[in-house]
Formats: sequence, structure tokens, C-alpha cells
Amino acid sequence: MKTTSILSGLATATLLAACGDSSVESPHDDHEHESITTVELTLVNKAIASDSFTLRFVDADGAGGAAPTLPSIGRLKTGATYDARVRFLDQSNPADVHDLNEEIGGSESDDHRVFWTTGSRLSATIVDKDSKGLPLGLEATVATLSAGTDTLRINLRHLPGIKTASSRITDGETDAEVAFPFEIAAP
Amino acid sequence: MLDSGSAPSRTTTVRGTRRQSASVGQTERTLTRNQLLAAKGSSLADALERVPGVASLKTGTVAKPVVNGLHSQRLVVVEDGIRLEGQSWGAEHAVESDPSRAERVVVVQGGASVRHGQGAMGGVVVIEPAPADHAGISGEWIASLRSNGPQAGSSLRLTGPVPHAPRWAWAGSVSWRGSGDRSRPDGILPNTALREGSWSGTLERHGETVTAQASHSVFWQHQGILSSSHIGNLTDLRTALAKGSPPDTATWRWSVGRPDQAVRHDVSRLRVQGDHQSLRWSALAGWQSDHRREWDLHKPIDSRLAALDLPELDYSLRTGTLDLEIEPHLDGNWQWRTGIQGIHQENEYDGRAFVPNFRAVAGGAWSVVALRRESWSVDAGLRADLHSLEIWRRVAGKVAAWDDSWLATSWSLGWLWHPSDAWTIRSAIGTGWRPPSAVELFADGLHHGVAAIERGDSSLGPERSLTAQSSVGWKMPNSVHLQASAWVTRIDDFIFLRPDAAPRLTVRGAFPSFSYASDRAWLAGGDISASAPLGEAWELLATGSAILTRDDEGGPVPFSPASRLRLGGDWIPARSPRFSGRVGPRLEWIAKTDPVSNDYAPPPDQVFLVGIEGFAETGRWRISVRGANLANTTWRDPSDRLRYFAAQPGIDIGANLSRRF
Repeated sequence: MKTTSILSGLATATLLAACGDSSVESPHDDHEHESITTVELTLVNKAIASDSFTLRFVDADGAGGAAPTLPSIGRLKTGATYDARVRFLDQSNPADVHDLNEEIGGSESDDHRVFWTTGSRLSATIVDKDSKGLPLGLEATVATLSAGTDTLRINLRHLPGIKTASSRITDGETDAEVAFPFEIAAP
Repeated sequence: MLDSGSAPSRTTTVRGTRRQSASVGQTERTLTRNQLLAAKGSSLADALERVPGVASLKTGTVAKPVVNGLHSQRLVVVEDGIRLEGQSWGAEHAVESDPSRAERVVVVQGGASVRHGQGAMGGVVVIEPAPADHAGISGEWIASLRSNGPQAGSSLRLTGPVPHAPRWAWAGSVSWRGSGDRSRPDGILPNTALREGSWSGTLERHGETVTAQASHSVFWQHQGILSSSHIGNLTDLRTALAKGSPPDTATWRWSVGRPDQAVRHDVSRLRVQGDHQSLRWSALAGWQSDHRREWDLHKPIDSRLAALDLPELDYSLRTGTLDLEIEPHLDGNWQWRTGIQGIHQENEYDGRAFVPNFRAVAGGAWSVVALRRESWSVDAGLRADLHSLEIWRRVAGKVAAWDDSWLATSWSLGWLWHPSDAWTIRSAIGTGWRPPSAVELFADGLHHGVAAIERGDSSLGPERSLTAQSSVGWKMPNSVHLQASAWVTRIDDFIFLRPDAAPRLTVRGAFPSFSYASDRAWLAGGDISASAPLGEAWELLATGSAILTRDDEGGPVPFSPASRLRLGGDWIPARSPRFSGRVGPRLEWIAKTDPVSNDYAPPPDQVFLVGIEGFAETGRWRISVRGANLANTTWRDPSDRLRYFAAQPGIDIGANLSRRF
């Protein structure tokens, strides 16, 4: 630190460039940049309203830094159908949480689609549509087919100007992708 | 046009750059006026690629120079006496300099840390603008057109005496170029449009013994980054790799779209130098600001944030430098030059914090002693540097500070021997160093361009290099020219990205993860340039570079340039007082590189490229033509970071028209 201050003093004295206030020592905590920090999946059993729960993936500081909090295992009943809803949130500033579903389901719906991919023990069917009547994928119906474990992969894709009825998961770019683990057992 | 012999020992007292290298024994190659004029209207790296020993590190259509296998933070670019300071860590961050201002470009190969301090391990690229004209108004106007893009540009440079003010002169320049999306042989390269401009102004007073000069120059660039290279996650990366090319549905655009980068670089200089009976001295103060902004592929989903349209990355790098040099006039053949240098640098981010805020303060003192005889010269140089680095970043909402400082010494020894008029033999050995950068120490986040999470290591220490080199020049009276050089560099604690064992999970899915690590690296190479007359009207030309790199585990250093050989022949019509010119074909061979472990794709195959170069000059007018990749060959450059996603541009025919005043 001592050499630093000596050199610093020397340089400040000799170099005009060193003049002026600097905020370099206090890096700001920026919130004007979007970062999807949270993906929430809520499931409600169509037959038994009390059989409902929400699973969360949270990475508050974005890619890098601290490791994300992974969703816990969702427990589903065999032979059941669930209303499922996914939410994308920007919680990087806890004082100003953005619910990105407002835009994904609103002005941005024609450029986005959520793909729901399952293994053989689950099936998912998108039920909502964008403004042009194409599948959107913020809401779906999830049915359990057999007992065991399975994974539901939620992929929010950006399809700017290229979204069609036959858009596939290999088109466009991934905005968010989270795998939710499930255990399906007899009630 | 490929001749790039050793530099003439020209000294420019006005601009004062004189010999920039550390040692007489170092290989220097000068970009000839022909090469420079042909390259105006393109990038600096494009121009330098014609010099043997210099390659380009490409990111799609963006390129930066590589000397002796090293680039970015291991290569120093000095423009008009000032070392350029930008965000050089990024492979896609081109050098912030416009070749249209340059009058002379010299590449000094091998470590030149004695004169230039940290970072000059690969060498130095010295760019000198035209000197101010005290006699009368002079200048040059250039218009350039290129078919691939297409691209158009123009530049104007003027200088002259200040009216009614004897001893005063002024100089000014302005340039602009723009390009639409470039094309590969079987489609377009979406979002590779470019806008670039620069201007400069200089005022100079040339006294009896003391000359003073003040100047300001501005360079700005706005360019698109190949949109198909912007990767959402590992699955997207695999999909893009499987496709290997941009979608055929992409349409050509003249404008720059997302993802894009904008940079503005300002340099102010104040130079005073004196030439007295007992000594020569110079003082150069410089101030630079480098403001770089980068936008992601698409706007935020949130409409309020989208309306702000803020760049995702935003860095301001401010640098002040001071360079004092004294050369006492010694008796006999001895020469002694000594100087001190100081630098004060601050980086500040706005937007995502990929590179933290930092302040670097450094001072160095150097001395070079030379003995010059008619047929031989020797010199020895020594330097000491003290470098401190302070870093501030946000960790869990709080500011975390870090600092370290390093003391480093560098030395060089060199000799030059002229056994006869035809022969020049040089050898040099020297050390270099550089401290770890803020990125290497504290990067932590997603690097979209390469679809990877990169993590710094705050325990990294400085790199230290040792370079030995030798070159032989042979000039025959019948105008056969040959220059051959060989070099070897050992770098201890060479900093590189090492793949982590497991990918890291993010909200976008899994990404490959890399951490900065250090290990010993070896680089060795050889360069050759030759020209020989063939009959009355033809000249044969050849240049070539070979490079071999190894880390301590026996693998190559990633993204090292490929070995290459360029052959050509020029038809030279009879020269007359009113006309001169030459034109001829070029054939370039680019070798296959060694495979790198953990690379996304195997290295591309070797390739042969066909081109043409020529010029015609009459009076003050001149036209130069250049055709690249005339066979429209689909090829990928081994040192292109985007080669996984798209091929290099296809056929490109260009012409520059210039008029001197």
C-alpha cells in the first residue's frame, strides 16, 4: 500500500490526467441492466386444489459469482393432471423486482416462446397463445404418466421476427433454461 | 510490394520517435509506402498482415495484430510516441488506431520491455504520422472502395505553415469508412457492418533548439458482431456448432444491428524536445480516454429497461503517461540514452461488472548504452519498473478492495554486424514482463462471445519472458533481397484460460467454465521475406512465417497463428518520369494448426488463397488495387475465435485512389 501511495502521489503531482474526482473506488451496484434471476414453476392439481406447490431456481447475482439455488424435487401424484404456470423474474434489486411475464405475455409475446420438454413419465401441453394465436408457453397442462422420476426442462427462447407455428427449440437464442426434477408416486 | 527489409536508419527529429526498439539486434520490419497505401481503407491489422512475422487474431471480421505469436496485453502499439491503452484483453477488441493517418509503420519483433515497459513481450508496433510541413501546404486525399460489404471510405490529411507566424506549423486529418454486412462465399455474414472515423489536429513550433508540439486525435468505431455467434447456452452452442454457418435466411443490411460494440478513443499529446550541443532531450505527456460500450443480442424484456437501451458492458479507461528521455552527446562512437516513464490509469465500469474498477500506477527508469562502429554495433539496456494495481469490485452488495505491487527488471543485449554492404546480421536477447491484468485476476461472469464462464484467479503473479532472436539480411546489387529471422521465447507463468472440470449452471442452463491459470509456455518461430528480379519486367516475391508453441504439458498455446507462406510475382512496366506501377498475382498458403484440447471443433484444414495486388502512379495521382480470395474459397482461419460459426469473407476486390498535394 505504501509504494502505491508514493507512486500515486508522484503521478498525481506530475500528470494532469490524474486530476479530478474519481468514482473508481466505489463501483456502483447497477440495476439498470436486466438479469433474469428467478424462474418459478407453480403446479396446481386440477382435481385436488390443496395439492399445489411452487419450485424455484434463483441466481440473484447472475452468471458467475455465487452458485445458484436449485429447485427442490417436485412431488407429483400418478394419474393426475396439473395446471402449470412459469414466471420469470428479475430480482437483482430486491427493492425493485421486475415480473418479466408482463412483457413475455404482452408486448414481447410474438418474439418469445417457452418450450416444455419432459421425459417419458410426464407430458406437458402448452395452453396459452401469443397475440397472433401461436403457442406462448407461460401456461401449460402437465400430466403424470407413470411412477418414477422425471425432469421438466423449461426453455424461454427469443425468436425475434422468426417465430412460427413450427418454431423448434433449436431456433433463436436461449433467454433462460432451468431443469425441474420430479418424483411421481401413487397417491 | 512484399519487400519489408530492415528499417532504414531514418531519424525524425520533428516527431522524435526515432529508434523505438530496445536493441540494435532486434528484427525490425517496416511497412512500405506501397503496402501502407494499399491498406488504407482497411484496419491496422489488415495492413500489418503483409509483414512477415505478423499475423491477425480474428473475431469474425474484426482483427488485431499478433507479433511473434503474442498479442493484446503482450504487444505494445505506440502511435505518435504514445502507447495506446484500450480494453486490449478482448480478442474482439481491435487496436484503436486508424491506418489512414500513418506515414510509416514499423514492427519490432521480440521483447522490447527495456524501452516500453510491461507488456512488450511479443514486440512493438510503432505508428508514425506524417510530420508537420513548415515549408508549404501539403497533404493527401484518399478514396477507397471495396466490393465485399460493400465498403467505402475517404480520408484527407493536410499540413502547412501557420500564416504570419514563422516557426509555427499545423497538421490535421479526417477520415471515415463504412461497410454493410460482409459476405462469405455461400451467403452473408449477418451483422458484420462497420462504421469508423477519426480526426486529428496538431500545432507545432519548431525553434532553433527546442521544438514543441501539441496534438489531439480521436478514433471511433461502431461495429456489429456476427449475430450467429451470440450464444444463449451450451445447448445453443452445440446447435450452432452443428450448423457451422449463419442461417441462410439472413438478409443483407447496411446498418449495424445487435449485438454491437462502440468505442471512442481520444489521445492528447504534449511534446517538447531540445537538441543542444551537449545533449538531446524530449518530454512527452499524454492523456488518453478509451470508452467502450457493448450491447447484447437483444434488448431487455422489461420495456422500461429496453427503452433506456443501455449497453450491457460499458468501460471507461483513462490513462495519463509521462515519458522523459535524455541523450548526452558522447565522444566517439558511444551513445547513451536514458529515461523515465510514469503511468496512471483508471478503469471504471458501468453496466455488467465483467472487468472490475481498477487503478494502475507505475513508474520505470531505463538506460541503453550503445557502441556504434562502421561495420558493427553492440548495445545493452536495463530497466526497472515499479507497478501497483488496486482493484475495487462489488461482492454481495459491498465494495471489496484488493491491491498488489510488483518490482520488475528487464534487460537486453544486442549486436549488429555489416560484414559487407550486402549483409546485415543481427542478434538480440532480452527479457520482458507484464503484471496480471484486472480481468485475469477478477473476471467472473459470462463471456457471450465465446459462450463460456470465465473466472479470474487473484493469486496470479506477473509473467516473465526471455526472448532470443537472430536475423540475416542480404541485399545484392542486382536487387535480390532476402531477410530471414528466427526467434524463441520462453514465458514463465504465462497466463491462460484453463477449462474447469465441470460446467457451471446459470439461469440460461449450463456453460463450460474456464479459470485463469498460469504455466510455462514456449514459442518459437521463423520468418522470411525475399524478392528477386526475373528478367527485365518481373519480380518474384515470397514471405513466410512458421510458428510453434508448447505449454509445459506439451500442448499448443490456444489460438496461436498458423504458419503461412505467401508467393507472388509482379509485372513492372518500364518506369518513366511520368509513370510507375506494378501488378501481379499472389498465392497464400495457410497451414493447419495443432489441435488444442477442449477446443469446440478441430482446427480447420490448410487452405490456398488467390489474390492480386498492384498500383499505378502518375504525377500526384495514384491508384492501387487489391483483390483478396479471388477464387471465392470457403475457408476458416485457425486463429479466428468465430470460426465455429462462420467462414471467412469471400471474394473482395478493392481500389484506392489517392492524390498528393
